[in-house]
Amino acid sequence: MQLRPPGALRDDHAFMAACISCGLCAEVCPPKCIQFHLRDGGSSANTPYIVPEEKSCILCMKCGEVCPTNALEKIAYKKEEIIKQVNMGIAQIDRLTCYPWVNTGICGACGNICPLGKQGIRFEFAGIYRPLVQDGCVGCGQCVEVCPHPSLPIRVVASGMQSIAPHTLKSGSLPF
Amino acid sequence: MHEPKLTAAPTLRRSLWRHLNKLRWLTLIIVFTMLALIPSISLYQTYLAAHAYDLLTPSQQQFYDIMALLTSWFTQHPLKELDAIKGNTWSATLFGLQLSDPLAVLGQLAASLQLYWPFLLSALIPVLLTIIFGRFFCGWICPATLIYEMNSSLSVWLRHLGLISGEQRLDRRLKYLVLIVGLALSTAFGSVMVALIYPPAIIGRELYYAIALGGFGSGTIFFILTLLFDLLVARRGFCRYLCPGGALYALLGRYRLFRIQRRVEQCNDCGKCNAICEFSLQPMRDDFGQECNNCTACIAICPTDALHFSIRIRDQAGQGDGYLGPKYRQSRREADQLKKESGL
Repeated sequence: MQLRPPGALRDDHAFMAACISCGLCAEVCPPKCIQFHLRDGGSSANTPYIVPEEKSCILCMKCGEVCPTNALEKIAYKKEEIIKQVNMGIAQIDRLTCYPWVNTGICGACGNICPLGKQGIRFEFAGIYRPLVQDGCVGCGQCVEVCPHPSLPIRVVASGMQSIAPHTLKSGSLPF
Repeated sequence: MHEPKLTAAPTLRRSLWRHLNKLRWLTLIIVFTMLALIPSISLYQTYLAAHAYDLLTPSQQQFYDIMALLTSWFTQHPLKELDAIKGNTWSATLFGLQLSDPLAVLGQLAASLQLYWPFLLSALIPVLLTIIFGRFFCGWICPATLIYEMNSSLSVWLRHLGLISGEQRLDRRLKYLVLIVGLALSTAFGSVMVALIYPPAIIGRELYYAIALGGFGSGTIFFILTLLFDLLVARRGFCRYLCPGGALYALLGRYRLFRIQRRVEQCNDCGKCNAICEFSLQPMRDDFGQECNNCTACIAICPTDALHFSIRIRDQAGQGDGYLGPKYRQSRREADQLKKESGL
């Protein structure tokens, strides 16, 4: 799933109008997770996107800081601000595959890596078992990177999209 | 009777202005090198941030070593301090200063129809410099100019070998149409369309793609097409006739302060300046106009130092034949003959 970098304008048409495709966001991105529509994308050609499942965002907020046109908004490097303003997507857990959910062991990898802590992902039972994605999740995709299950029961989807598993979702912000 | 000295030898002490062209080549090469270095630095910073040396492939390790060596000369904390210079000629941050191409600002304005002041102000310095120095960006900074000028030399060689090279003349005003249509399309599609057809932006982007992402975008294809256009249709045709950025800079620099001017007393009508001019202007006929990009190639080639920079907002048009040229001397001789015959 292609998502806009953190802090991108909510309306994707406004984002495309604002982005001048200078590539500064990608140049300052430490993990190089920002990619571009190279030879595709139509009128969004040369605009940045993130595929959090391939390379996750570390939520350093450097891209917004450097963006000259405010296509990526400046967001302070604070947990509360990030939770409030970043809305790339939301993680989804497939409860028919995830190890704890099918009772095949205690894992907790996703909860341990989550940079937003309990506001991003929480455990259902005794705080250690069966992960539950919370509303605070911004879709950085670090949980997907560490998930040990080969078929990746945890994925990031755009917030407005249909979920891969029916549970907590706030709908309707990104139009793709 | 006073006989005017017609065969005055040109001054032997030649002016230093003629070396400006070398300085220009140096600037162009530095800009281009920086455009390749900045993505490399960015990639190096990624490896550095990940502490990933042991995970790199041998060629990546080699790259890492080279970058470590290069950057160790001027920074101890590459991860932090190398963020000081980022971007390309389209938009960049230099030690906290935001600079953007005026075309980027105009294109973004056309696409979003909204004013965003910090971005607008980032084009202030380039605009002011353009008002003073005219289309200097095209001649002195534009990374595409370096390649286009080499391409232009190649076309000279091809012509020597008897192969085809284009010498089509189009209307110079075509590029203003391209600018207007580009901006109109930006508004229509709601994205900055001029960025797709503007070579300096393309080169900055594509160098980043090639070095840091290992791919190439549609811009590369477009740029190769412009190179072919220059070779096969019109020499330096894209800059002369089609470049939207060049059009904008030409308009901004119409009443530039620094312009090249011909000293008619020192000109010998050799016409070398007309031949060397990449933009097919005619310095020998005082035809510079808003198209001149102050590249100083004509100053460098002038054998009598007739061309120099002057501070004025209009060209001194129609100065006539150079005083050291055969035509002017002939006319003077005839005039003197007439004077003698009339017995004055």
